[in-house]
Amino acid sequence: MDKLLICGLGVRVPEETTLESLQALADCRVVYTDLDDRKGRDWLAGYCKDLKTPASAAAILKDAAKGGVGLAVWGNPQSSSRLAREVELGAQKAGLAYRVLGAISPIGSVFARSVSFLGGDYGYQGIQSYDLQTVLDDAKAAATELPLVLYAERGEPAKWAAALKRLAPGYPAGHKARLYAPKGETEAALTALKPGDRCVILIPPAKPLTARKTKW
Amino acid sequence: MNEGRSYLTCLIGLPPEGRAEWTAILRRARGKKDAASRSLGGRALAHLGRGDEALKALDGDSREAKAWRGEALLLAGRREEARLALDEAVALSKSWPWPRLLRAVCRLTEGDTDGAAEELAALRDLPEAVLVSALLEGQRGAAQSGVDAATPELAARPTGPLFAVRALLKLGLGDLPACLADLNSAAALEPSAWILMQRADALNRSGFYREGLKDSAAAAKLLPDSPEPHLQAANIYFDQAFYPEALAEMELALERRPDDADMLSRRARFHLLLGRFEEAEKGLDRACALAPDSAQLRFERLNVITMRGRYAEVLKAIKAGALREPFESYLTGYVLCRKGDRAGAVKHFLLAAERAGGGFAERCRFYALVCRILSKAEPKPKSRPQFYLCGVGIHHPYQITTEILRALDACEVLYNNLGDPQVSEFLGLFRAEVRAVTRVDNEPAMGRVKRILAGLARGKTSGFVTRIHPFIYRRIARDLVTECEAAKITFQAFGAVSLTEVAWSLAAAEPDHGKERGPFGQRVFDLVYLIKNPRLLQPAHPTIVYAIANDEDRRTFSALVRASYAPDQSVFFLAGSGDREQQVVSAKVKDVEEKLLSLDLGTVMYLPPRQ
Repeated sequence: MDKLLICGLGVRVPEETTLESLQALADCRVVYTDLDDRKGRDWLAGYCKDLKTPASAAAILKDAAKGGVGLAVWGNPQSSSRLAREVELGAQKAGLAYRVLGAISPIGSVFARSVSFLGGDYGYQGIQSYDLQTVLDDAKAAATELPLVLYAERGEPAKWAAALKRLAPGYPAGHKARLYAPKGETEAALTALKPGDRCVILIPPAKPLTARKTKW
Repeated sequence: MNEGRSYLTCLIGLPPEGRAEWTAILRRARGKKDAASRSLGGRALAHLGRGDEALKALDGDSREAKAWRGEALLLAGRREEARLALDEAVALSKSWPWPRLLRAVCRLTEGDTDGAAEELAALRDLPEAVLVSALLEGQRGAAQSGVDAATPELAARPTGPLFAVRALLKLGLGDLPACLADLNSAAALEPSAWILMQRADALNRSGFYREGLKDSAAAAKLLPDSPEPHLQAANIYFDQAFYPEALAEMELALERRPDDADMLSRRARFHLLLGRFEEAEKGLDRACALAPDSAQLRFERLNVITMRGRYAEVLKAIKAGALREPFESYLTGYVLCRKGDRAGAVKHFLLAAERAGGGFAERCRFYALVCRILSKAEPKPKSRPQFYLCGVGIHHPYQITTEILRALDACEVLYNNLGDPQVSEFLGLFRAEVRAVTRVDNEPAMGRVKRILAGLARGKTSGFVTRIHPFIYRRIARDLVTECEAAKITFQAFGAVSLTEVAWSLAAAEPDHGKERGPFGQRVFDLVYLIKNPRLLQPAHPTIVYAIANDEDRRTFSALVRASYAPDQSVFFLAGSGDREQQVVSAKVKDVEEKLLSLDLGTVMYLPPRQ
């Protein structure tokens, strides 16, 4: 029996939250969340027995030893949440049974909104997605040959600007990207975009990817 | 006639084969009055499906009469009486192997694997005993032991049934190509109906459903009076979304056993999916008349009446005690939800969940949550698109998102691209007319899309419901988008859980994943693209690979993985056929090629960051 459930709520909460995750969280004795978004948090509270803000990963793990604990994070737990990772590794170390439920990732979200495809002889053949801090920490994390999905739950404008400025030279001048923000979407040259919290950007590859020729 | 072969008939539940042979035996036995001929004649009657006459003929005291009486009773499913007759036969002759073998089969069909093993221990030299032992290991969950038991016997004395049994064990081990190879050997040695039907199933699982249907048709010729091959063909057609063809095969099955309430119920499910509610109701009326004590059939019938909108009639029948809990509360909730009383439906679904268990309780709780969400008013959007594209994840319909739920609720017509009965039932909660997306033989992929869009009514919002994410390896969704754009039909798509996220999240909780997590992000590739661009594989990053590729490309990819990761690192596979199962399997990098080649085309791989 799992003592701890780790659930992602999607990029847009509650719209992209799955009922599977919501049901699992509703069944928990207590749910911890570090969501900043007030609207999403209030919505989640309406379905949980007890919704708390965690003091630390260690506090969640301590409570999880008793069982019935859920952790709800923005986006997809593996893609973006440092708290989820710390809790997951802590649970692994402590031998605590835990489960991570499938959640919509930034790629899944942005594909639907941008009407982009993966696979077949019509879609992208490869894609990469990184959170803002990863690109700031490692300038070589992303490859310009692949479409890039860049995202952040907490995205300070200065950090976004620094990341986009760093990425821009790898692309042709004026290379356009699409920004998906809570208030809507815009298309503009990389350095002209103004992202903030809970934003996702889809940057097309520097050169179009070759289509797959299926051979059987 | 191999006198030991009949044990297989008892095991597989198919009508016996070799009608001509048994008929000849019966004819020869008829003119003779000795006990041996009488027993043989009785046995032939049992194998010709004339069980009552067989039992009358097998009333002697010889070991043969007792053994074949046991066999006839076993064929009729009367296991306890069969055991008694076989005990008597064994007591009469301890060295004669057939009653012991049949007793082992009897115990195996009862799930008594230890008892069966005890019987078989004394029959080690008998080839048929090897086969039953192999099946026994499979039933015990030790498929590899079964394969190990069958392999030397196959080398010494190959037979079709033993190849087929080893094939089933290999299927249990997840090795579909090896399973098919064994079934090919089995069919080459002995193309019996049972073997052909096993191969049909394996071919369908491998994606070669047309070849599978050919085997089902060949089996039907060998067993012209049996419904089973037609039932199998119906299920294959259904799996492949050829619903009218599935229904036609079901009719052929029912022609052969018209009073089978279970088959009538199954046909009603086909009718339901096709929106043919009147026929579904008629079929269930007949099924209920045939099995008046079946609460399940009563429930199915009332469910169809609910789908036909006769809510008062259903509620009245429920009030009169037509159903027992948890179905009473469940159907009340379902009716209220369809009527639009979502808040009222919640408590009934929760009550049903409290009184149910397992998957049904899970479904009831899910429906309660659906109704709870939909009962909360949301501001109406200023405008709606004409067409919604909705993915419902892998664990469907549970992985549906809240925005898709609301979109479905706004639709007047829903196109269901999933054959999963749970999805059909779920879509029935909404007010929309549900239309199954049917495939038509030899129709180009775009044909389905054109048929869907031709059916769109102006001013009515419609939705297309498919599995996983509509834009990730889903050509039909891409074709729908292309056609919508060409026809200036407004549309909206939603994010959904895909195999990418599920493979990653499942693997992360596996003990052999290791501690390394890599940067926050991932790379996702088509296997063929990646082997042409190997520099893009970053072993320090979490990586997902869609392995839709031929064996040659899979081998090239395996070499790339071996060159990039440590040999003892684990990698994970989510098989495409594992839809809804939500289970990953792991393999070491050094064994990646063998594993990858054994998995189906829809397999997705997760490569954890290099450890």
